[in-house]
Amino acid sequence: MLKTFIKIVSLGKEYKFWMLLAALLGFFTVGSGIGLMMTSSYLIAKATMQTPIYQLQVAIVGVRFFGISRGIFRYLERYISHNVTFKLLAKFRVWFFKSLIPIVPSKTIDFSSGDLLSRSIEDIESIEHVFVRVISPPFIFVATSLLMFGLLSIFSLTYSLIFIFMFFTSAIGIPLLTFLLSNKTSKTITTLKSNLKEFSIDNLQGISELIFYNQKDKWINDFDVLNNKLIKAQTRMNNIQSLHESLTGLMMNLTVIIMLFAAIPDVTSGILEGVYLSVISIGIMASFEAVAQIPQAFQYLGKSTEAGKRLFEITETTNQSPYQNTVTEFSSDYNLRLDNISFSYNNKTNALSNISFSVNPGEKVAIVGASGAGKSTLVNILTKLWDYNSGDIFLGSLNYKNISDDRIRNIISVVPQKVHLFTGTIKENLLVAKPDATDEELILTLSEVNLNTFVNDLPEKLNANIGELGKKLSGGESKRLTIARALLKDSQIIIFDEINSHVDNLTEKKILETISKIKTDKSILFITHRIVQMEIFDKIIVFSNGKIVESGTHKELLKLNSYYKKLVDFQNQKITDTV
Amino acid sequence: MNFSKELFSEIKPVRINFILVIFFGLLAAVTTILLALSLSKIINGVFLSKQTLQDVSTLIVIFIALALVKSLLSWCQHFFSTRLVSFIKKSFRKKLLIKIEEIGPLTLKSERTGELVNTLLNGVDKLEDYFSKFLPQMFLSVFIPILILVFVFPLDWLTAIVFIVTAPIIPIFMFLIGSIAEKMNKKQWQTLSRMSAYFLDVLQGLPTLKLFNRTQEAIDKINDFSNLFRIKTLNVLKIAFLSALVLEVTATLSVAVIAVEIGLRLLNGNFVFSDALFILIIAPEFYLPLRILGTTYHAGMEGIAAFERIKDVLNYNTTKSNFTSNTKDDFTFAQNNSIILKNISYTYSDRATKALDNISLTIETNKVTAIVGASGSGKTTLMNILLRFFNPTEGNIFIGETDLHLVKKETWRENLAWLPQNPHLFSKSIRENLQIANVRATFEEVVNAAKIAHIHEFILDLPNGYNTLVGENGAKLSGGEIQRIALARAYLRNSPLLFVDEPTANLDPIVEEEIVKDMYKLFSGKTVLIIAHRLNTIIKADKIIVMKDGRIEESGNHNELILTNGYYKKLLDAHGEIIC
Repeated sequence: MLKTFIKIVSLGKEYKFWMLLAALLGFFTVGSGIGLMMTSSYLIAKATMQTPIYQLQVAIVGVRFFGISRGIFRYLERYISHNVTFKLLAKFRVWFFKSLIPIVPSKTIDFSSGDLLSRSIEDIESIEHVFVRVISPPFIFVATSLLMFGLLSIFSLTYSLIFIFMFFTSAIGIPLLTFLLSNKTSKTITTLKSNLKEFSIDNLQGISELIFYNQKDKWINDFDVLNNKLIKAQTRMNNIQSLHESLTGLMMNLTVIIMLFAAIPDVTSGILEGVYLSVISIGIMASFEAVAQIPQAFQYLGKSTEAGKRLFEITETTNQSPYQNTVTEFSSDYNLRLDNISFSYNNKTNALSNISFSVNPGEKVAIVGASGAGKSTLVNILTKLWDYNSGDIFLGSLNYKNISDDRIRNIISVVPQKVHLFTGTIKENLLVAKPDATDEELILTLSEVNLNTFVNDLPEKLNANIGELGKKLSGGESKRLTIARALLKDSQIIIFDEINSHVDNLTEKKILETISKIKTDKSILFITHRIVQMEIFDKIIVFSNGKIVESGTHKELLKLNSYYKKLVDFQNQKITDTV
Repeated sequence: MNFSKELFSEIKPVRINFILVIFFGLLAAVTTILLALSLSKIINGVFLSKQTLQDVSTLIVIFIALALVKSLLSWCQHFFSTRLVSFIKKSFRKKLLIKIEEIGPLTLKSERTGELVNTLLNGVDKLEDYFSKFLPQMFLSVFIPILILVFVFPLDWLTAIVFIVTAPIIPIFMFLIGSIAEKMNKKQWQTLSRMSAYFLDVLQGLPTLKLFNRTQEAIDKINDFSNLFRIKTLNVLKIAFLSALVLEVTATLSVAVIAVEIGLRLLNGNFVFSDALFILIIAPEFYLPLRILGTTYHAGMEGIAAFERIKDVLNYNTTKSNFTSNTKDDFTFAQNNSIILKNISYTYSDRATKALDNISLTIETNKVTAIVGASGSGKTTLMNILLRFFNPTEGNIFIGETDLHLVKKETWRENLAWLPQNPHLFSKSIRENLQIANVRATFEEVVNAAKIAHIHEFILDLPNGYNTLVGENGAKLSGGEIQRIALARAYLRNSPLLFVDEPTANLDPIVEEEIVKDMYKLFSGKTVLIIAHRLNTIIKADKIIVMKDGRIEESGNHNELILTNGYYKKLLDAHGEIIC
């Protein structure tokens, strides 16, 4: 836990000056409160003694000063600590994003689920508060105890020691006590919470079955049982947490009374002036403001280290490429050749085994097979998002292992199965591929995918906003925009990954027309499970269970009593989903 | 402020609990006042009356006793607020569950499941602080200052006036500045959520950015956006924090004013020290409840926001139906009863057009009836109505002579076996997943069904056989295996009626072929209604219902429909054309 905490803190160390300033201001706020109460009680005690008014002037000024300064310090403290918090937020976001770059898309982390990402965003927002809620309160506490130690030692070192003992006992003892009392319960809560969540998701996803099989009453009952257990544990937890406030108040009063025990005989014996009896008591009461924040700091410490742990778990996933990027000179030979490539996820069964084929420059190659046959794995390997386990890939005469990732991604562009368009305009989305492209170039590319008339009809043309993640576009439009983006990149090899699944016939037809028209100097790798218009491809490679089972042209493959033929027949069987 | 009448009315059933929270809060405040009184008496005694420790020992004992009582009382206050919260949470979860069930399977698409579960669990948790902290504090911040005034007024009316004058300043200023700031704040929250959305957008698009070698630009943009946001927000907060400043300054300045004002009167000798000390000790306590209210403001806001999300679910518009009386529970489907649909229509509550428009048809016994049509033509809606997941908005269904609405839903379903398109396996054991179809089935019968569905061997190979848990720590089943479990469930059901939504899942063709063959075996001797996607299945059917835009376009068997040369023929032709 400590290790994670230190890691979080060291991420924000460049703002240590601002943090210190904010914490100091926080201390001044508490200090002003103490000052106000002490000078006020001094004032009334002295006044009771009929002290001449000129001797009270200093106290009156002090009272007024502290009366105003506390508010101002509080204001500045809040302003600066928010400033730090926002700076940390920016810093943490950039840090998280940067650490993700080398590992996305990772083998171990499912990035298709927005769940993990939104969770991470929440976690980042939770560690951003680490400074204000976790680091600052103990600092203020320690500074306050030093201040009180100093002030009390003016009267007697005994008072200082009594105070320090009680003060630290309150700040450390109470959270420690509640921690020990609630440790087991808090673990139970975590477990029950995740159980209840899994249980709810599982049953909501299967709600049709639950209703059909008349199990819903049982489900609601089971939910109630689990929920009641959780709420019972939470109630217990809350009752323990409530001890904080009660016990802190009790400790404050006890400190005052113990101090009086020590001080009253001193007053009686004349060692201490009676005036200060009230000053000391009231000062102690005011100083306990610094203790009140401590238990919360402990709670946030737990929360933020948990969040930090989850984040580090993601960012510290190693996905270091074992290969050297030694090649610096490139020929213009873009022949792509796979030689005996095998790959497995986490050492389970091979997702790809012994794949060998080549794509000559300008060749249009289709890779077909049922889903789960390993086609998409191939895309990730060819773009160097993942490293293959064995075999070699050559680009011309160069081994893939020796070419840098950036270089590969300049040569190969991908139109992915899952379209990702950024929230923004059409132009912004296209410029991702080529930042310096002119408007003419963009329109030319759009016409290649038959989107030019569509864009022209929009009131804002290229600058039209396509909504959050491109939601204002239809499925076909966003696919074609993604294709345009890949074409614009001007790379020699383009991979299309299942772009014609989940589209209607008309869109599918248009997409395939677009592809057949792509200039012949580009190599195309078209990955699909739909066997449609296969004549436009020079070669078809058929995948099944991670292996190549057949290859040839459409006509050649149909002649044989092939797996390919079976796929075609099978597709012809399905009727309604193609309409 | 954050007061919501609707939310407040939620505490009605546990009113007494809430009153106890306030009651103990007030009692604690009374002991605070008594503590201040006894402390000022002790100090006064020692300081002015030259009393010794022994002289004040009774007062010290009283002080300690009061301190103990006070912490006990404040704990009691929290105890009852926790109880209140437990009740509220239970009641909201219950309401949500019932509503979710009412919304039913149709609207609960998988993408909404996460969101719903989030509302059900986290959303309800977020109400906690609203009820335990914010709401009681709203009452206490009115009552406690009044209570203190009652004690202070007889001692010193001047201080009481300072209290009375300053106390309203705080809420007034908080309100004035608050309402300006709130507007700006709202805008800023929007920017904040847009910031988060942008961040999520880039995170999700990271693979794309990586493929285009454009990650550095994204980093710069996150940085720029965050800084811009920080500067803008701080400008707003500058003003929002003013309310805190006013609160703090009012509280501290009035303590200062009181101290000076009392001090001057003490000088003139027309005031008693012990009263002065008491007032000084109690003065911060006068403003404390209002300050606590300020700190719980955020909790109040979060609670209301969570409540809005909960309300969204609770107010979800479910289609109301005129049919309520389904009481008959002695129904059994007789072999010679056909299912007759008369003028069935259905409209989804959130859509204008009818999903089913005046459907009349007869499903004959011991025959296979297939429904075909493009997606969105109403096939699934029709099947869901027959499964009685919801009632038609118009029309009647008869089973022989019996009106289906008179039959209890559960009783009707006992006569059915159902093969959904995407069967769900619960994270329980394989055996429980099978037995859900027929709770009375013996283990032997379960094994038998698994054998017929060709999944028995597979199950035996699992680490714990039939007791293996489905899911993360047990068996991860492939699409084909899940289909086979569903088949076994249908066999176990052993019912005269069979409803099927033919699987279109992307299975390996050879696997799918085998599964479909096993599915056909189920058909014999049963009345079958099938939403069909495969040509073979359709041709096999005794009767084909062709649907288009919620209406029946044609019906008949394959040969008849081909001869008619209508929409069915068109469907087949369009299908053929796109195949190479």
